[in-house]
Amino acid sequence: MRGSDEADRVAAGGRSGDPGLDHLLDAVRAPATTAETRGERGVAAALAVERRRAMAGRRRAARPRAVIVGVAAAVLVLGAGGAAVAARTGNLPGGVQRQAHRLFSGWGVPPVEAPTPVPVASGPRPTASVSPSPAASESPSPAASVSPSPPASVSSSPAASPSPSPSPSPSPSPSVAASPSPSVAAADRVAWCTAWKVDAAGGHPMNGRDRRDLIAAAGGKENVTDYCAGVPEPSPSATAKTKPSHPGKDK
Amino acid sequence: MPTDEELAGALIAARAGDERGFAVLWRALNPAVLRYLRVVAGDAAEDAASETWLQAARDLDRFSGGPDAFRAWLFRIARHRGIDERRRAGRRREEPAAAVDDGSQSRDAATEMIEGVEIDWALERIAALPGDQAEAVMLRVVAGLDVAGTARVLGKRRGAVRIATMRGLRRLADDPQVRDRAAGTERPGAADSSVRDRAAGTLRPSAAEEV
Repeated sequence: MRGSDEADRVAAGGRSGDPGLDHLLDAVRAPATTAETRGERGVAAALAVERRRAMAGRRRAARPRAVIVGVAAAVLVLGAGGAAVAARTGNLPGGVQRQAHRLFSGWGVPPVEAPTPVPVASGPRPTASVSPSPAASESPSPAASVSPSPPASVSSSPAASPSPSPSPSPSPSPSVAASPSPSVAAADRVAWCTAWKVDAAGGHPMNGRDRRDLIAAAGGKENVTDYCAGVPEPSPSATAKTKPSHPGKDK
Repeated sequence: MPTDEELAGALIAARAGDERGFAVLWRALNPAVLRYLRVVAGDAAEDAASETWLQAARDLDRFSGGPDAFRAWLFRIARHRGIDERRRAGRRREEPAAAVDDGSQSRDAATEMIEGVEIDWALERIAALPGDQAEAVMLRVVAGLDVAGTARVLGKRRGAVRIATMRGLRRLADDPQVRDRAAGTERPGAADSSVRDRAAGTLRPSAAEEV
């Protein structure tokens, strides 16, 4: 393996000439084993069902399961320290608010400069111990990175949808912010993004500021940018950062 | 391995909710997904693979592109689900490991052990690499992604991917276990190359190499 050119060639299927390495690469490329393809029919049927369910959900404009599941996460994302409240009442800083609206408009996060500060419904909130303090709207309190154990609720309990339906404005007008319409795609994006946020809440070494920046800018972290920005890919140069490295924080 | 056209057709069918489309995609790609996830998520690989496919099924209308792009898209999902599952598995480590097979083990079991043993060993050696090298090697070699696709999945620059791949392959070549293994399992060249050819046809797509 003299250089990366040769490595590229070998990685793409060429022989390295090193018997050990070639043997290993052959093994790892070996044809599918019986175990790896067992249950094909069952799996395919299950996937088709999942697909059709997602399609039906979208047609009826109902909330797909993933989105419902994502609600809890969305609350978490915006949530700790009252940021959710701030977002729904339009009290986040402009950039954050715009982004929050873009991502969460389905749940009553108004666009920037929304004229009506919504009286906050007292929905159930997983991180209830953190009281919605006004300070939360400007400082990402360290508590934001705590969010104890969300994934359990996400994976199983249907009760994990603290539906923000009490929100008085079910259809926030997209007219103010020049953001993509809060269509189905927006709901999709939420599910996608919040799933990632669940990862983060589940122990990803990421502090509160990172999280807020993420929401504000829809990116900075490479994959989040890709996912959250949706189909029109952001410029790859903006995604140059490597893995979040938090020395010494590994478990 | 289905042709690109068959895969493209399967993609369209699957997007419309057709079971046969999913069957084609799953059969073609699940082995690679599973192997990649065994490196990323260890024992949680099976769960992560299931989650990967379910999410892909749900979000398929958000994907547009051909089979190559689909492969990259799928592995991007796999990466996230793999990291997710690994974390979850770490949290419930006290619980007993996944149930042993349900007793349906029969004559197949022996065959499976034999056909899987080299793969298991190889994946183990790759999993022993530093994380970024292991992932780069798996995505390039097993998933069949090109440098650009791998870079997108990992969120790294192409140069970083190439270096990680090179270092990973070098380290594997220097691994004493890898050196010994080849010496110990020397087989007739003909058998070897036929395995290799089948492998190439099965798991390695026509990786468009960038220069």
